[in-house]
Amino acid sequence: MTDERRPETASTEAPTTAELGRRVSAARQATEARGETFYPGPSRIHLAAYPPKERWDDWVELDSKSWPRRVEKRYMLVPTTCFNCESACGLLAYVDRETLQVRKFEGNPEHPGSRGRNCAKGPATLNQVTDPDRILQPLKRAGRRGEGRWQTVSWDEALDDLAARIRAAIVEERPNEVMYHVGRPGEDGFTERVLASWGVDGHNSHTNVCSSGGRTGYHLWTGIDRPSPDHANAKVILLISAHLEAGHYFNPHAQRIVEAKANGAKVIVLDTRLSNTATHADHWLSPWPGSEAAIMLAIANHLIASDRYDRDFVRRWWNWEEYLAAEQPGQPRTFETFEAVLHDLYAGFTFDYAARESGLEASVIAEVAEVVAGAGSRLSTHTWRSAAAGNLGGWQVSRTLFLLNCLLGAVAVPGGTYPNAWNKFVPRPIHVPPHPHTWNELTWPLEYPLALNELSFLLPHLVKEDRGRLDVYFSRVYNPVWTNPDGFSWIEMLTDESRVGMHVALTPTWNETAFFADYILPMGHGSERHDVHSYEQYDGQWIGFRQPVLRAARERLGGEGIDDTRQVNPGEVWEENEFWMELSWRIDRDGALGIRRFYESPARPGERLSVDEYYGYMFDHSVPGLPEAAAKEGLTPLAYMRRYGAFEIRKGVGPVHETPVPADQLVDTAVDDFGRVYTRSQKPDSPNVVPMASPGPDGDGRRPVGVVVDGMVVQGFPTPSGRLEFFSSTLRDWGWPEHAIPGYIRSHVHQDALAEGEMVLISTFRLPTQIHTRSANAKWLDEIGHTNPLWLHPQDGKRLGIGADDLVRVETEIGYFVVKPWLTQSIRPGVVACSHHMGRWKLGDAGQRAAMATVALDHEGDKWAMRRKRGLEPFESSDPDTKRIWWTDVGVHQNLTFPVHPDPISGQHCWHQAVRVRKAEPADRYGDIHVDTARAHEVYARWLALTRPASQVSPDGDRRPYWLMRPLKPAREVYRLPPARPARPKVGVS
Amino acid sequence: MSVATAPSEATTGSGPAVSPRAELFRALGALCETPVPGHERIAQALGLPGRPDPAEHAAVFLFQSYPYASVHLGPQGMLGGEARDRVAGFWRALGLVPPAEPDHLTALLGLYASLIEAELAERDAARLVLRREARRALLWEHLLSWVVPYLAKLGEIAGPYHQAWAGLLERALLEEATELTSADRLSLHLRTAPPLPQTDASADEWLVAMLAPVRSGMFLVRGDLASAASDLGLALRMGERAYALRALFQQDAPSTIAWLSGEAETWIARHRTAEPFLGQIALFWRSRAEATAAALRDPWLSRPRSGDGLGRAAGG
Repeated sequence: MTDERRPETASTEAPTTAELGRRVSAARQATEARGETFYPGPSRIHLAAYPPKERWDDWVELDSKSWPRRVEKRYMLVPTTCFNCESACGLLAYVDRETLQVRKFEGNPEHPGSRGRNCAKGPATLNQVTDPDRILQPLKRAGRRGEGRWQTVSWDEALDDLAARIRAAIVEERPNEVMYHVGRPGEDGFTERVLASWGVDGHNSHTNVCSSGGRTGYHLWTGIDRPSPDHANAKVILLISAHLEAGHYFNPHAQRIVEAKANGAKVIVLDTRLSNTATHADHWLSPWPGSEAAIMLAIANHLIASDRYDRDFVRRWWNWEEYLAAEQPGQPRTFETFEAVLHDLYAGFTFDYAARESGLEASVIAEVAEVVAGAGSRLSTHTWRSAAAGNLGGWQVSRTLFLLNCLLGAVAVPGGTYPNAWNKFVPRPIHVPPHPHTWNELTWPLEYPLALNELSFLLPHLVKEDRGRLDVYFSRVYNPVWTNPDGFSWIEMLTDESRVGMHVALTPTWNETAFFADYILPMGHGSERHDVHSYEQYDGQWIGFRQPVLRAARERLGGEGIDDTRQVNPGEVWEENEFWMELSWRIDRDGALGIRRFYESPARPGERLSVDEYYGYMFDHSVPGLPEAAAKEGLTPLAYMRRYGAFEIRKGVGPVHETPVPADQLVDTAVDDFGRVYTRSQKPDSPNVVPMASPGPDGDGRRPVGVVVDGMVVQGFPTPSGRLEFFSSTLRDWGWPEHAIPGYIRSHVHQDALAEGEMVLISTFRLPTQIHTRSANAKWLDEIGHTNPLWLHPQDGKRLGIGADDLVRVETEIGYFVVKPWLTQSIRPGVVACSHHMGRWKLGDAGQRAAMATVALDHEGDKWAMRRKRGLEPFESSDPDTKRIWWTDVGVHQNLTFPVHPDPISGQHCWHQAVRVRKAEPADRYGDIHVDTARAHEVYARWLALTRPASQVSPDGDRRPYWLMRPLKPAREVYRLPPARPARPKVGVS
Repeated sequence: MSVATAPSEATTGSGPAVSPRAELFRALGALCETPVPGHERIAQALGLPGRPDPAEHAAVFLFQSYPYASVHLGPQGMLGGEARDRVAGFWRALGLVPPAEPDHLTALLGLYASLIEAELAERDAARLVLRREARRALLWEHLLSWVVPYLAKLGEIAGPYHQAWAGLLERALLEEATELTSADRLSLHLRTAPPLPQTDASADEWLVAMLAPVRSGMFLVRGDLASAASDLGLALRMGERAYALRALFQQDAPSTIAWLSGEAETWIARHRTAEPFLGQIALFWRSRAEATAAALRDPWLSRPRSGDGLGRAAGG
C-alpha cells in the first residue's frame, strides 16, 4: 500500500471518489444518449465481444494474413440475416473499406434472436459469395433439357420470355399452369402475394417433406401451426428431435437450452439415434421409430392418473364441454364428468404398454414421466420433422407432445411452450392483393382435405395421371430432384416438355434440379438480397432485415443511391424482390390485368415500386416502436434497419389467449353453447399479419371474436371453439372420427408391419454444419462433412455378416443404394440411419466441383441406374483452396430410392423406410443406385388408397375446412367442391 | 452483454438505481478488460493519466499480475479450483448465474456495483439488511481478502496509467471498508488456506507454495524473477514461474534464497502498512510472509537431497 492511496491522505485537490463516480455517470448518460455503448463487452470472453456499434462505420482490425507484421485493415460492418437455415440469425458483414469486398461474416449482437452468435453455417456465407463455381449470369439451355449445354442470356430476354408466357396463361384462363415451388422461404408471404396479384393459386412449398406432420398436431390444438418453446426459462425441456444441435432453430434455441441447463433444467431427448443433442441430455430415450406418441400418452396417463395435471387450466381452456356433448351425450356436462372420462381415456397407455411399443424399459419411461410431472408449468417441449415427419400418423407425435403442455398448464407461460404466432411479427406490407379465384388441384388434390401444406412431392405422380400440366414451373432455392423422395420420377416429369412447358430455376448455386431447367436465373445469397424475417425463438417479437450488404455499404460510404441490387452484386446476380416486382410489371405493363397497381410507386406514378419504397412503407407504418427508436438516432426507420439489421418489437408477450376482448369489439354479440363469442364489429386492422387459422363465422355472419372463460370474454385461440382443442370436431366431421382426440397411430414401420428380415431406415437427420442442398458451395462446410455412412449397430453387423470395410446394399421398395457402413452403438439394433445431406452429383462439367461427384445416369423405360464416374478431386480455380481438396467422398444420394409415403391426413411424406440391409454384391460399387419408377408409382397409389377424399367426406360441400391455415388462401367461393367428374382410371397396383 | 452491467439488471427489480459509487466501481472494473476504444471515455471521466494502451494492458494483466481471485487465494496460485468455486457459489447464493469467469476482477467489481444499486433500490427494511450483508460479504470475503496487496504489486510493475487506476481502486475499496466494517471472522479463503509445506515436502511442492500468494504471503510475478536473474547474474529460463524459479535454484541456491528472503521482508513491511485498514486480513498476510522469511532462514532448504532437482542443484 502506498501512502498516496490511503483514504485519509488523498490530496485535498483530487476529486473525491463520489465526484469521480458522478463524472462517470455523466459520461455514460451522454454516451448512451447518443445511442452508443459506454461499457463494451468483456473481450476476454470469446463470442461475447463485438465491435461497439458506434464503430461500425470504421472498424480497425489487424490483418491475420499479414502476421507477424501489424497491418491494419479498415472495415465497415453491415448487418444482414443468414439464409442458410430458417433461423434467420443476424450476421455482420465485414466490408473492406478499400476494396468494398466482404472479408468475413460474424454475428450481429443487435439481433434479439441469435444475440450475436452463429453456427458454422453463418460465417460460411463467405464461401458461397466467393464460390468459384457460382452462377453469375442468367443461363438458357442450349440443347435438350437436361443435356447440360447452356448459353448466357440477358435478364431482359429472360424476363420478357417469362412475362409473355405467364401473361398468356392468365389471359387464356390457364392460371393453374403457373407454379412456384419454394425450398428455403424468403420473406413471409412475399411470393404468396405476388402469386395472388397474378390471380394464380400457384404456391407450392417443400413443407410436406419437412414439417407439415409436426405442424398438423400443433394446429389441431391451437389453430397455429408452430410451437414457440421458452427453453431459457424451463425447468424441464422435452425434445422429440435434435434441436439442441441441429434442427430449427438450432442456434437461437441451443443457446437458450444451454442457459436453462446452467440454471438446473433437465433435458429429455427422444431420438433413436444418439444425436449430438442426445449427448447433452439428462435423459436420452432411444425408442423404436414411430412409438413416440405411445410414450407421450403413457406420460400423459401418469399425469392424469396421479392427479398431477393443472385442473384449473384444463377446466378453463380445453374444449371439454364440446367433447362431452359430442362423444358422451348421455353424461352430465360438468368438468367432474370430463375428469372421470379423461382418467379412462388414456388408462390403457401404461408404462408397460409404451415399453412394449418402444422397446424401452418401463421403469425408464416412468422415471421420465416423473421428471415431466415435476416441471409444473415450466415444461418446454418441441418436435419438428423427426418422428412427426418419419411415420404414418406422425402428426400425432406433436399432438400428444403438446398434450403434456396442455395438461400441465405449460402453455404461453414462462418456461412453457407458446403458439408461435404470438412470438412472431410479420409487418403488413404496402399492398395485400385479394385471394385468387382459382384452386390448383396439382397442389391441393381432393384426397387430402386436411393437409396443411401443398402435396408438393406428389407432383410427378399427379402430372403422370394427367391431373394437369405446367406451362411455367419455378423451382426456387429448391432442389426436388435431390431433396424429395423418388427423384427419378421428378426427372421423368421435368424432361417431358409436354408436361412441363418451361422450367425456371431461381437459385444461387448449381443443383440437381437446375440441370433440368430451361432458364437458370441467379439469385443472391444471404448478403445479396432483401427479406424481412421474424421467428419465434423466445417470448418476444422481433424482425430481422436481410439486405445486400454492399448496397448498404456503398450508400453509407458516399450517399450513393442504388436502385437495382444488380449494381452491387457479383456478375449479374439479382435478388428476388426486385425480380418479382419487375416480372410482374412486365406481365401487365399497361395495367389492364389489374396486376400493375400492386407494383406501382406511390411517389412516382407510372414507375415501378422500388425496394426502398417497399420497405420504407413497411418500417414506417407496420412496425410498432421502430419509427420512434429510429428518430432517437436521427434515422429513418429504413436507415435504422439498414444500420442495425434487427429490431425487437416486444418482449414478454405472455398469454395472449387470456387478453380481454375490448368492449368496442363486442357488438350485437352471440355466444354458442360452448362459450364461443361472435360479433358484428369489423375486425380491426393489425400491423402484424402473422399467419394463423381463421375460424368461420356463425350462422348469422358474425365473426368469432373471443371465448367466455369464467364469465370473461377473452381472446382465446384461433380454433373453431376458441379453446385448446383436445377434441377436434374437424377431424370428426371430415371423415376421421377415430382420431378426434390425441392418440397413437401405429407407424408404417411398426415392428408388426415389418416383414421378416426388414429393418427401419431413418433418413431424415441433419448434420449441424450442412445446409440441406446448399452446402455444396461452402468449402468449409464441405471439408467438415462430406460423407453419410449407414449407422449400423454391431449386433446387426454381426448378424448380417457386415464388417467395417464392407460395402452395404440397402434395398427399399423401389430400388437400392450402395453405401459404406458405420458400425456404432449409437443406433438401436434393428434400425439403421443415414443422413440426408450427402450424395451430391452432377452429370458433366457444370456443377459444384467441391462437393459433387460426376455420375453416369442410365435408364431404360422405368428402370434407372446411377453409377459414379469420378469422385472429388482438387482443381484449379480462382480460389486456391480448391487445389487443397483432400477428400474424394461425397456420400450417397439415398433419397432417390425412396417411394412417396403421403400420410392420408396431414399429407406429410413419411420418411422412414422399411429396408433390407445386406452385404453388397461383388459387382456393386460405392454410390450405385437402382430404381424402378413404375414401382414407385404403384407405391404412390397404395398410399393414395388410404385417403378419405373430400368428395366423399366433406360435411359442407367444401374442398377442405376453410378455417385451416393454407399458405396462399384462394377466395372463399372456390372452396366449394367441383361438380362430380367421371372416375379417373385406376392405377395398376401389382 | 457485459459482465460489468449484467448484475445490476438482475438484482434490481424496478430498473437500475443511479449511484455514483456503483458507477465508479463498474468503471474501474471495465478498465481491467482489454482496452477498446470506449475505454478512453471511461478513463477520461476518471481523470486517469494517458490513454489505455493494449500493449501495457497485456503486459500487466496477461503476463504479470492476473486479475483473478483464485490465482491469489488458491493453494496452487493458479486459476480455478476451490477458490473460484467459492466465488461462483457466492453468485449463485445471490440467485445469479455465475459468468464464465466469476472471480475475474471485472466481474467482481461489476457485481459489487450492482449490489450497491440493489441496496439503494430496496424499499423493504428486512431485505435492505440482507442486501447490505451481501455487499459486505463480497467486499470482505472476495475483494479485500486479496485485492489490496495485489494492487500494491501491480502499482510497482505498471506504468502511470495503471498505477493511477490501481490507486483509485484501492482508495475506493478502503472507503468501502471504512463504511462497511468487517465481520468478526477472517475470510473463508484465508482461513482455509494451507501454510507453507513441511520441511520434508518435495521441491516442487515447495516451489509452488512459494509462488502461491496465499501460502507465502508474497506476490511474485514474472518480472520479479527476471529482475532476480539479472541482479544475481543468473540465466533466466523462459517458462512458467515455477520452472524459472527452479532454474534459479539450480544455478545458485544460496543467492536465490537470499533474494527470496529479501522479498519476504519487503512483503512483511507492505502488509504491516495495511493493518490499520484491513485489520486481521493484513495480519494474516503478514504472518504468511513472516513464516516464509523464517523458512528461508532454515538451513534445511540448502541441504542436498536426493530425488529432486532443487536439492542437487543447491548442493552443486
